[in-house]
Amino acid sequence: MKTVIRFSEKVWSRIRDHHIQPGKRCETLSYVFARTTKAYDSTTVLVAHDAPVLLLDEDCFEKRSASSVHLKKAVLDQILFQFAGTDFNTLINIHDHWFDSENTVFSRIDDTDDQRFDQYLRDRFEPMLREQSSFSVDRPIFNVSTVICDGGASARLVDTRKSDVFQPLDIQVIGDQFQCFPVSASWSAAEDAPEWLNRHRDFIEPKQQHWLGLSEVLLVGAGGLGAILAESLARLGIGALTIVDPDLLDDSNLNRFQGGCPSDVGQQKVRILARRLKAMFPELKLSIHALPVQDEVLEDVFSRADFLIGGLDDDVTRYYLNAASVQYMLPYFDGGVSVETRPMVDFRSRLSVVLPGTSACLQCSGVDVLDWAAIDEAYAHPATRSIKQAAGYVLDRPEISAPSVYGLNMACSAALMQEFTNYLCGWRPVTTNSLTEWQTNRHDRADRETYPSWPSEDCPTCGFRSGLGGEECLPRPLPQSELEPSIENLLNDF
Amino acid sequence: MANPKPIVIDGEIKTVSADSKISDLAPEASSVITSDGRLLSGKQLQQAPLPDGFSSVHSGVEKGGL
Repeated sequence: MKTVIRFSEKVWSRIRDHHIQPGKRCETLSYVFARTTKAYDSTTVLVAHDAPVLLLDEDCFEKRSASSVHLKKAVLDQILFQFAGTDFNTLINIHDHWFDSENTVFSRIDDTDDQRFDQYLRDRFEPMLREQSSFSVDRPIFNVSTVICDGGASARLVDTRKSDVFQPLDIQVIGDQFQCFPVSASWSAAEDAPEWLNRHRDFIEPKQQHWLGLSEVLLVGAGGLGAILAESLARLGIGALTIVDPDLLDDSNLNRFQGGCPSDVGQQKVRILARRLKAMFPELKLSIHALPVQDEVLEDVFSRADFLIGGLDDDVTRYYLNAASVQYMLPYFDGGVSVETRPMVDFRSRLSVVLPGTSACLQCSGVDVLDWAAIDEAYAHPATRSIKQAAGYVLDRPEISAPSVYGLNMACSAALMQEFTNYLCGWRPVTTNSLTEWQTNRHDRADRETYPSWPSEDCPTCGFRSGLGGEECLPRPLPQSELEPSIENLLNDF
Repeated sequence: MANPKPIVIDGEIKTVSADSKISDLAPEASSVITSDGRLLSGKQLQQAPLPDGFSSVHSGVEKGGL
């Protein structure tokens, strides 16, 4: 079971600045409301950039000292009353051990307090939510306790109904640079990275290599880009990889599908990749799904992933991944290539990065990445679609044999992998959008320093889906194939 | 200067200034929670009385590090 709490850096830094101040010599306590998604093999707590943060002033406390903090009962009641009236399902308490430096753990007093409070939540608060609809919304509650110090933090789910009352959580912070405080934070273990990764040691720190080994990447697209990206991720030392692509290998894919053989033609691309990756990296935890990523059975894969990477050739799926990225707070790296033939041959590659809660998403970045006409068509209601077709609008786009070449895919994958590693290691500000055009020798790179576009409150994705996790369905196109109504039938209905 | 904006409260259309906040329009609203991270005082938090039927905690929270 994978258990993670993912903080937006905006919230995390606000909490840290409040708790860890120069000269502060007493503990304090604050609260955050969040959302938890439970999947079949993972539990993910999401603290979005706009999550309510309750930083408490001096008069909220009975007493505070260097080694303890005691919140007034009346204040706690009010916090719980406020929480009851929202639709958040997770209450996070955060206190500090300001005296610890690199890492900190819960004390016995913390254990006792967390258990006592959880018993109240289970015995009285949750039943009250069911019974008092006038001021509360009925839902199961997740109780999270967090303790922070100058250089580290620990978090856990608390549930006194279970035999293992405390369930440790890996902490991730999604901001301009990825931060992670894993449960197994023994950095000495990182020095034991396998020998085949020793050429990384001079530029990837041991603890960062350790994170990579703990991380799971969800790779959507196993074609010309995806096949290179999958192998690159494995060679970087990623611990687990989930690959999603419904397609079969075609003869025409062999000019760019890395490692593809004529005997593979007709097989699922994800299976070909898995076979090869398993032979090369026996320790890589690998999952494959030969389904469209929009398939409902795959929603859980977003919950357990740490990063989302797209190697796609269609904007409808990009639009979907953009929403999933924001909803599950997954840093999203998206590559795209095109070979132009008119008016002259050109090789173009593009990279976009979405850092949920920190950077604008593909929908509000101000950079025209998505083909909105194609997305509108895919998401059109069958009736609208039928009427548009009858009126002469072309909606069915014929399959085209898009020009493509292996070298361009390699260049795009290399740029994407460079930025992905940069995000983990913090060598320079991460790019949000970059574009390379071979014919004009153009290379534009906007990064978080030169073009720090923020999530827009008015964006239908960033303003609505941030950190909702599994509480909201992802935006799937309506099934067009199911009894698409004819214009005659529609007219008859009138 | 921003134009006044029309809003609908309980089916009634009103025009309010562009910088109006929820607390200006509905001062009885009991929520003080925001996401801007400002410091909440105990006095501010306790402005609204707890409703009948609210299950109070038995005691406050006590955390300790040592």
